[in-house]
Amino acid sequence: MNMGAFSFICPICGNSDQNTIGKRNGKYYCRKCISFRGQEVIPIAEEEKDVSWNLSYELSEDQARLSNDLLQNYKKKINSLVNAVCGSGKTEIVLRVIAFALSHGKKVGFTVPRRDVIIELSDRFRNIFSQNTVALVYGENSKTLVADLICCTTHQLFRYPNYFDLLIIDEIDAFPFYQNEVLNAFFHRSIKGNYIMLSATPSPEFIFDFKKEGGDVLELFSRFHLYPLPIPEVLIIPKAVQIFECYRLIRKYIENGKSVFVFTPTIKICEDLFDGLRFFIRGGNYVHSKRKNRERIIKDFKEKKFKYLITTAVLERGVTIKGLQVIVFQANHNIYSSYSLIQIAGRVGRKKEEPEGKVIFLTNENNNEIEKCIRSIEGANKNLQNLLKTDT
Amino acid sequence: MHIFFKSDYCICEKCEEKLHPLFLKFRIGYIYALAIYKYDEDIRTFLYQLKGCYDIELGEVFLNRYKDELHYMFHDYYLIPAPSSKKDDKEREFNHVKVIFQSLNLPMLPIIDKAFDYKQAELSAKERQEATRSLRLNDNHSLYGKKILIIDDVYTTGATVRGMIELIKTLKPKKIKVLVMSKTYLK
Repeated sequence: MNMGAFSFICPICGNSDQNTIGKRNGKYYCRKCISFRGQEVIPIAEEEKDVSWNLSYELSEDQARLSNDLLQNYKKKINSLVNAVCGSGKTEIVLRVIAFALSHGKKVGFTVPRRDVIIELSDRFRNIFSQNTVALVYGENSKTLVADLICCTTHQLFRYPNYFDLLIIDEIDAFPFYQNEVLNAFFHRSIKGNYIMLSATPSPEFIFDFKKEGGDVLELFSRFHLYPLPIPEVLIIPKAVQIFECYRLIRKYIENGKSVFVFTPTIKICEDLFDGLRFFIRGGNYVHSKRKNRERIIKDFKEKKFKYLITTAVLERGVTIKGLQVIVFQANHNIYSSYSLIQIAGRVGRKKEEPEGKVIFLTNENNNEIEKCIRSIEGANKNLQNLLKTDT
Repeated sequence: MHIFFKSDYCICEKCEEKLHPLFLKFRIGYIYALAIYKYDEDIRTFLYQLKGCYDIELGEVFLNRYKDELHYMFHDYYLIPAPSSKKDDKEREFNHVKVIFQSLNLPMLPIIDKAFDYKQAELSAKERQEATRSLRLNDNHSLYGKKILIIDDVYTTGATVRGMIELIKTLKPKKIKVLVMSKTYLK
């Protein structure tokens, strides 16, 4: 709407684009953040608490070093960015800082753009911080908003204006948070103290900007079990043959007793592929963002009730499953960027018991994104080998 | 195409793709009715943003493309909007049915309202039938010899529109027609 010289800036999200500002009964309002409405939480001063955290395993040397660095940065009130490869145990690194902040009566939050990821993480935090309360907040689940540790999706951050003394954000480069001005504004609005960003694939420009603002970048290039990242195999075959190849590979993996993820680019392809395969291989299921009960399907899959799962990009991040093999169907589709391909490849071999696995890209042409993905994984592996050499 | 002919066209191409005009003609008893859109997921999100988030600027979007055609189609009609809960209207500071249809530029007679507030979305088909008994005329308007167009945003079971037709018939207008923005589509 055209308002001439007058300009209105949204007090909530800081939007100043006059095209997205409306007028209702003579009052201006922001149309960008209009769907973020609901109960807001006002911070109350809290006392110091007893905090204990128990992990069933010990942190590796690198993890311990990084978690110590993070703690020092937090004490010095410096923001940090952790740039660590997939499956290096980013969640474990921040536990020490969380425990420290909680024990001093600070407000601590953990936020992720994806709903499935935050549900899984909150379960883990409940086990680790068994003495303290953990609140899980996402779109359909917003009854309890206050607890010792708040786990929420980035969409729910509007409920906590100027609230967190320590806010940890994971998967900063994931849709829908990445390059979304409104969500970024809410993220900065909810911070009172410091923040820690975790990512496996930050872009070089982002790191540059982050350093410019006075933040500290911490890097970790090895997985905690010190096995190299799996390098994807690229099979260049026509589209029609990909379905048969997919069938053959799933059959082979199931005979060896492994579980399989098949990533597909769109919901339609996901459903069609499952319809084609279900008559030939029993014991599978499919998941996409519109499927109901997908939390239960994923849980059943972890308990090995299903042998293979056909999925869209919803499961590309934050999922840890033992002995997983990955097939990417139509990997040259333009929804896959090199970052999301790296994340998909990072689903494999995340457990100490089975640190190796196979990633196979089915594609009918080799494109730039696939090459970029393979190059960056090889680069991380090279770094790891240098580290191992200097140790011995 | 429309961009070239209409200067006050207000939808971008991306959002325009989401709107699927259907122009479905159907009958309620002996009365002709016209639905412009199919009530699908996209219309639902747009309506939610208008009704639930109070985004008044979205009101024009639905009929913007056809407003001239609809204006000529119904040029001698009087519009009677379907009633909505007064409490909601007060909170959102506007009536969404009026906002959607105001671009037709036709005289509006809001003569029907609800005796008590209820939410239709929470009721079953049978309960909706009973709830329409709460509709009432708010003053004795004379509609004698006038052509009447009943307007609503979503047509599901038709309970509200049927109830309104019964009430308006008692005022003896010359003609009654129904125009709804969207209709749920049964396979």
